[in-house]
Amino acid sequence: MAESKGNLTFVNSILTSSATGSPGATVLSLDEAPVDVPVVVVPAPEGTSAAHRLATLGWRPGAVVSVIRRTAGGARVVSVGGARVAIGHTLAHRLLVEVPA
Amino acid sequence: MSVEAPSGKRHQLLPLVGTPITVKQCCVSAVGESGEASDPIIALVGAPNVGKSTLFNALTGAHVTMGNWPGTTVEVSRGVWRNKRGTEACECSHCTCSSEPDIRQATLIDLPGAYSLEASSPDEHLTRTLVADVPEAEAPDLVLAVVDAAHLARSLYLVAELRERSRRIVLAVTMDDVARRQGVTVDSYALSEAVGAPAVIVDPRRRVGLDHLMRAVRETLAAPAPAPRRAVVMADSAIEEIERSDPGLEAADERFAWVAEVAELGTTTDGEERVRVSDRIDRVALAPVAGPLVFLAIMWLVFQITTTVAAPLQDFLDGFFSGPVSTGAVWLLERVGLGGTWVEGLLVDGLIAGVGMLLTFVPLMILMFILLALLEDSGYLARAAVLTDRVMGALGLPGRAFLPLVVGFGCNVPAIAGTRILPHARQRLLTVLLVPFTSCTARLTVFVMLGAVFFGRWAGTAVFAMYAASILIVVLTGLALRKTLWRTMPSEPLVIDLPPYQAPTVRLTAQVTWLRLKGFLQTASGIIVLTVIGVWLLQAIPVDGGTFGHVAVGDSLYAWLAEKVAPVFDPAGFGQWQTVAALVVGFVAKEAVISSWGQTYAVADPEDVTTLGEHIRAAFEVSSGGHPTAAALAFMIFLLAYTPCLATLAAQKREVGWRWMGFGFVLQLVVAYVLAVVVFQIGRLIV
Repeated sequence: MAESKGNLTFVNSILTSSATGSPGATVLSLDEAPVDVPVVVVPAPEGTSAAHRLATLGWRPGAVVSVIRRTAGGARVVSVGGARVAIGHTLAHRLLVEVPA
Repeated sequence: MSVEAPSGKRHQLLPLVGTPITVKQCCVSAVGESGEASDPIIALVGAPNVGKSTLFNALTGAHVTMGNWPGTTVEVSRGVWRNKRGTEACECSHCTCSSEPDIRQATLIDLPGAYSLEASSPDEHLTRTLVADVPEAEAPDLVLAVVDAAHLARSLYLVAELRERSRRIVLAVTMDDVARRQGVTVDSYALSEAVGAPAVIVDPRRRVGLDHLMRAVRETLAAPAPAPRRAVVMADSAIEEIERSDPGLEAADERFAWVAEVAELGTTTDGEERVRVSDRIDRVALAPVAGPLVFLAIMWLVFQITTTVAAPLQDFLDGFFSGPVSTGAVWLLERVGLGGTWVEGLLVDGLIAGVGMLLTFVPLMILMFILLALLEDSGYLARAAVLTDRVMGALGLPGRAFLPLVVGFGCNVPAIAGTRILPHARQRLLTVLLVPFTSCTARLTVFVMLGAVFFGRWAGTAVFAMYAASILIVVLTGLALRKTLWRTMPSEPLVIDLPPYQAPTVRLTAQVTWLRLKGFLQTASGIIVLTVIGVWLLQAIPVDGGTFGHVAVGDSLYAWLAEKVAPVFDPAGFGQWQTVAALVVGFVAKEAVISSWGQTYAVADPEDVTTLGEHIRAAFEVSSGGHPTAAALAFMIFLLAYTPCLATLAAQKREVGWRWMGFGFVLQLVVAYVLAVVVFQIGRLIV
């Protein structure tokens, strides 16, 4: 777990200013993303489990998604391509999104 | 002991690694009264929650057989889709209906739900094997891919993969009404063009568009299989090779691009983001405090309905079999000169009692299956999985492991089969070991009876306490196993699609309920009837005076055996032979416990709970040394935790093999015994 957090910090640091190239945009983990604000999916750290499954559900880099709500148990309900996908709290902490400036 | 399954073990858990037989081999040899060998074979594929099974049910009606795919543990439904050839003229502008071949019917195979052909679970593996990996001659004649109009992009990934092979494909577009409410309109003609396969909008819940679908299928079958969609035509083996050398990345990117393009071409959106009814419901149903409360309330309601509504129906059936049916049989036997003989005992106390008991169990199962179908069909079960993900996560299990555990509260046998939705062998194994601790409806009948006898107006609370205890045992046993044998198992993150809420349809609910009930009766009937006859036989064999068929229960082989075992249960307060005999029967099937008491106490009218209750109460009074309530509670706990029934053991054996089945069996006995002793020893100090 400690190792994955390390990875995350590293990825965060290199992505913070360069994810979409737009200046002033901030990269956050999904669990930190504000509710009801459209955000852009940023590539997840290498080795993120369920990445392929997320991709088939429409969670792909560049896709615009928004957090609809936080649920009991810390999961996030996210609007992805019009559908509602629930993402558990541990995964939500690893996935990255960019809030446009 | 380690759960690091060696490769051989893994094969046992994932038998699909072998070679399940192809659809042609299976269906051509299996068609009998329901179909003919010349019928085209159509495989129904699609992601979960797109209405695939609803479409299957709508197309096949009652002509369905359910069962494991030969050589695998994956359940597949097979049905006959009859062509009700209408005389109406064709309305579509882009087909040539006059040259349609005459297809009377087709064999339809409902393959398990799959988002893609990536084989991450046995279910997806089977879909891949039967549809994609087989050579064209062995493949189904046509693949009917069900896609969700409201979420077209996500449904199309599987289609993208299918179109890389030379297969005849027809798209059935469901959820058009949901899509329209969201401002999305599907243009089926444009979608057909973009995909390179006919697309037909259907509403299986209202049986709309099914004729058009049949027409599209007929036309597609008449035409040669289309060329694969990629510019460079590749053999199936070449695609395999590319996927192996490049673990999907480039191929996946290309597919996602294709999917995006097709979805763009095939739909128009009005661009408005709507606040949906489902979102409003979820505002409460998933809320931090209200969500779990709603969940508990729904669970409470489910059990309230199964206890209060089922009881009178059960009493009626019980009375009917022990009353008029038994009396009628006795009267008939007397007429043919067999009155009072052992034949009368076998027929009345064995066969009629056994069948009667099985049938009294039916209302309870029907109610439970209806409620589960309602929860499933309405979309609430997915929300329940989200709410329970964190709890399940503590056990190292994904939120969807919650599903088999909930089903376990109905019946452990389908619950164990349901563990196949878990992608990893070790998660399945852990869940298979935990399911028997979920309190099934068969145990409920005994709890309700004992509750009435020992707890009076607190009966409902006592029964509810058993459910609470059941959940607690599942969690604590799970934690214990997680901390010991399953230390290295990685956690599966929660990613779950929340389908929009919808009103369940009567037809679908009834159909699902009937299929599950049929499955239950098939598994349970033989076991239950044979056990009751077996118990009668043990009771008919004299040990201490009397002749075969004419012996007091206390003098029979049955009592003799139970007496030998009884002292083991002295520390739990129920070390008495009648009680132990009931537990022996309960090992085979819990629903036989009450009738076992009925037989051992030789109660003339087993419907008379008061008389039987008095006998049981008196027995507990003696065995517990004056603390019958504590002993009854200990007995209920033991009943909750030890082997649910032979059918559950059989299901476990099928899923995880003899060794782990044996491990589970011993684990349950140990947990049950220890808890029963603890409950009695503490309970006797209080009551």
